[in-house]
Amino acid sequence: MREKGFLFSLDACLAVLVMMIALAGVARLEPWGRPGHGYLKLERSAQDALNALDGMGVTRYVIDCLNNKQVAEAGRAARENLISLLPPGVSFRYTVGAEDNLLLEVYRDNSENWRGRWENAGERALALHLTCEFIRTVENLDVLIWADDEQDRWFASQVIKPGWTYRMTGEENTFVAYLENRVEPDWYPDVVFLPDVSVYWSDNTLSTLVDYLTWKLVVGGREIGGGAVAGGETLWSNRRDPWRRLFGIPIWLSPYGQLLLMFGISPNPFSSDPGIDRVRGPGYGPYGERMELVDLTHYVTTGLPFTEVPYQGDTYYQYVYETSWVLEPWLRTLGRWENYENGGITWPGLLVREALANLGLPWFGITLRFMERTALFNVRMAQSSYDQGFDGLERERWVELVRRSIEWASRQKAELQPIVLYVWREGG
Amino acid sequence: MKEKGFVLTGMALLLMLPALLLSSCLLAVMERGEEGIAVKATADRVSFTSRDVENLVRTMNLYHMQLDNVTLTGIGRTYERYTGLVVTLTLENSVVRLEVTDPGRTAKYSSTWTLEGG
Repeated sequence: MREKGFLFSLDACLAVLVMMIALAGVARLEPWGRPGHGYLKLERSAQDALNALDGMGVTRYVIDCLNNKQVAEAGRAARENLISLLPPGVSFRYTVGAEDNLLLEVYRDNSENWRGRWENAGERALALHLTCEFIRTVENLDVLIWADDEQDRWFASQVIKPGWTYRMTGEENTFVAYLENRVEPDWYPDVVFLPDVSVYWSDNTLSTLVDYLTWKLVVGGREIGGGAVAGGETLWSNRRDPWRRLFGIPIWLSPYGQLLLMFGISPNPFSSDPGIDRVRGPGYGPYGERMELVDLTHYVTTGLPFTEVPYQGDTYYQYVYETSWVLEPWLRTLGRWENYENGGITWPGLLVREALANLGLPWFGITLRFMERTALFNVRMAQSSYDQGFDGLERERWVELVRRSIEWASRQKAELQPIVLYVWREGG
Repeated sequence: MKEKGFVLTGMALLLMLPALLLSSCLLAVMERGEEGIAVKATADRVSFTSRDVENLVRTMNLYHMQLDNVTLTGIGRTYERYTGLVVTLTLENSVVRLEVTDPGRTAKYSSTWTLEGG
């Protein structure tokens, strides 16, 4: 009997098997390195989760917690909500702040090896949300500016950042009234900015400023006192006390001497000499007029893309101050002038002084500081920056340093902060 | 002489030919599919980023925060650093122009709006 039909041999079975394997292999290939469906889902999960956090008010809550230094509570809120929003099996890293200065970093749990797992994750998606909530929250960064000429006003306008509120005056009575909170009950300066005071202040103005700097008291939401950022002209313009010199009265007993101390300058208690000088013009070295940043570990200087700050030294003075050895533990010289070639002597160009005492009673919402932070630039930066010979890059460097000094002296940072959510699949 | 071994018969060869054809077709289909996914992923990122930029600028304007070209350029740079997209944000006479593209120019979003109270 002759039978007809399809004969499915062992060979054919093997061939089908090979075919199946080949097809399965091809199906798993991602030969072009493009993201697959999995990545798309991950990215959408991250975006949706970030949007949901925003819509639920969690982002705002996290930022409020961070501003109140409640980092653990901020982390808890972010973690719990993200776990409920993201699909099971998806791990995450939630950060607030720039990568080199993170304010918050949260993973799925508190295990220590998350960093390594995040770095080694195969397919990782991210969603970014830039928030201005920090600027809104730091709405109490109030700056009182002394500006007695057009250059001061112009320079101050360059320095002021989004979110800062400021009052600018070049009139002594108004300046004192602001320091004593007699102008606007709801507005009180966190920091005083004195670019280049060219006016000879009265003793009353000096005393009021010294009082403002001496005690910083925070009770609940109310504040008294604050920090200051000044240009070197400020101290030079107000040098005084010849009559004290005549009678041998120590200069540190005068408001002017006390103001010098506030900025870390020695009033030289054993003589009536204020210990300050000023220089300008050529002959101060072959390097050009520039300040070199010598300490890049301070808040004011860290992470800056430059270490030299040019100055119109031929036209404007540099101020030479003798720093106080008594205040040495609280003083840091961040910048030095390069151009004084007298036996290799250089003098400070940028001095910052930390508060001498910082007492806090968090349970009662009370903070007390003695001699609040100050920063002193030994230059006439407003006039110099206004000069036509100065190009934008040089000006930007001074502006950046002053901004950071104001933030540091006020202890507040008003900036746009990135909130980033990274997600990945474990074992993926 | 008796030889032993696997012999690829004519039938098996005939079965393998469509397998090869199917494989090449599958590769082509996958390429198309992954291209589509890549475009979707890029478009998603561009769209999400654009909405975030718009919301941010509108919120800043709402709260009377300083908005100038320096600030807007800084905002654009921050987005670029994290997302890898090209974000151009400019302000001229209270009119904000936003353009977000990916470096491969696969997806592009652009919008223009006037700041309230500007």
